[in-house]
Amino acid sequence: MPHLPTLLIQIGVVLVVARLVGFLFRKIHQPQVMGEMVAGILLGPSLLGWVAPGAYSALFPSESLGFLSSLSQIGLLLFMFLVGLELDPKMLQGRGRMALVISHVSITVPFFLGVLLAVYIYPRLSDESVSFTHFALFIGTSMSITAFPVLARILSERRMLHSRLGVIAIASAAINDVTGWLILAGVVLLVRAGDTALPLWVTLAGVVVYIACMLFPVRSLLARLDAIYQRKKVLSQDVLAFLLIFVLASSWLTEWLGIHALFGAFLAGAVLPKQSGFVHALTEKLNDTAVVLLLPLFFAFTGLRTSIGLVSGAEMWFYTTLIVLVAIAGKFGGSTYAARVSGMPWREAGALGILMNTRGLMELVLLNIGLDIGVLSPALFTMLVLMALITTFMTAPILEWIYFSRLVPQEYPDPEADPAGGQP
Amino acid sequence: MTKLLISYLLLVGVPILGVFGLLRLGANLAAPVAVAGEWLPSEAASSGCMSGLVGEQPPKMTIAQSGRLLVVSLNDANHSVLTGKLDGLAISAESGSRLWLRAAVDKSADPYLMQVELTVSDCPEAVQWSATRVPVAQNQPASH
Repeated sequence: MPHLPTLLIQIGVVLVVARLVGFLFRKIHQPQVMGEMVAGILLGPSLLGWVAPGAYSALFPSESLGFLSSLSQIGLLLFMFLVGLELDPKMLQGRGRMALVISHVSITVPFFLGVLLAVYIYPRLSDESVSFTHFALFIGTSMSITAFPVLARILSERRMLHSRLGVIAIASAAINDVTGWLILAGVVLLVRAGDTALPLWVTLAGVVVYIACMLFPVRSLLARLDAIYQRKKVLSQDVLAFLLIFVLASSWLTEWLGIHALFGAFLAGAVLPKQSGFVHALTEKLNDTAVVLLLPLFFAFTGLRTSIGLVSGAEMWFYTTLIVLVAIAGKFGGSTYAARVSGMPWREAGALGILMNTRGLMELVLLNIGLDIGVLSPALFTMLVLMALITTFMTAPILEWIYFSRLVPQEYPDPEADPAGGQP
Repeated sequence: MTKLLISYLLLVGVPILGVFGLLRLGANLAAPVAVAGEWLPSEAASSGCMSGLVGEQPPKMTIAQSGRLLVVSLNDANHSVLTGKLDGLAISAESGSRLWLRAAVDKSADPYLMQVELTVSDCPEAVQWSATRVPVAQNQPASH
């Protein structure tokens, strides 16, 4: 492997910058993941490549990026598996109706506004190789995403997971997450339909069979692992290896079916039994490697594909501003109004809206898929990355402003700096 | 309960209907011609001071496209990068008031053809060539 020394240096630099920027962001009450996303941008052509092109070329030579990309994809698969693990049907108990209304509205309203935005930007930021339908559906999906893991982390850090706002937010985000990924899988399937060897009806039938198998027989089989864990109270290396193979197999199958490997990893986590400490033990084993080592590589790889230099001139910044405003209006506005209609007071509804507006790294995952399948142009990719960063960054200060500092502040004390850094 | 149901139907049903309407409306929209990818030179006419820049063979071009915005990379001696715009089938791009590129895309050919003209600030002559498009997926990190 001729690029091993380069890869090792790349990983080292990415980790140092990610931890450093993450630390600085924690100091300003932002989640660690926000700092890591910004660190990725700093290492890319937007900053390092601009101020020190020689150092950038030496650190990230084009021919070495395939290895970095592969590692970051493995990290992303593990991370999506962990996100699936966090989804617990118990979250919906007793609050399903309100959460269902809020989550559905928080998808349909931004989706509609995204498609409306697509009518305006398609002739300006796309080209004839992308059909309007694919473009519009993708922009709609990108507006509808909520970063379930970041939201869960914010609620956990503020010790409000069990508050009324917390339980509704987490349930809405969970439904939003599953629905969002199903929509994305459908869009990817549509876009790739012409490229795959399988006829569309075979793919659709395959997806239905795959999901049915995962939800019923596979889920039952996995319950036996849970039973073994409950007896032994130890997650053995054999069981861990089996589960990793299960994740890889599920990812491979969804990639082969044309709906992207990440969906398979996510569903593999979602179907695992959540009753006992099994999931907790599994998360503990995988979380640090995935989140501390591999996820920053994904942010760095995203940063390498993000070139803020492409957003130059008043016209391009106008499009960027428009995208950010539409994203906020759809998600924050839609969720807030739905929560208000469902019976929440305005201030609490606003807090829920701003939580649902957090897009975080889930948006980056989606945008990378869009760039990979050719639906997004490089400049539009950059604009949407900026939108993801802005909507994630604004969550903590606005939540503080409209909720914590004005509504029962004694109930939700500002936590001390978390040594773990509030990982995604 | 009734109010919630009506609100749900309005806030979920109306946007879904709106999406279908917009998808029908947008089907008639036209996006700029696709020029992203590599463009291989076929024939050239260069002489004098231009040969120092482009050599005997005109440079291969790689275009990154975002709608009408283009970033044109040449594999010339300086690895020049030009930024420019697409206006219909006409391309105009420049690099730091030193290098200018004008091109016209021929959509009737398959694959697309392009007539290119490149000029440099300190050279009165221009080099002209035709290029053939080799489309590629825009999925790699920014090139150096």
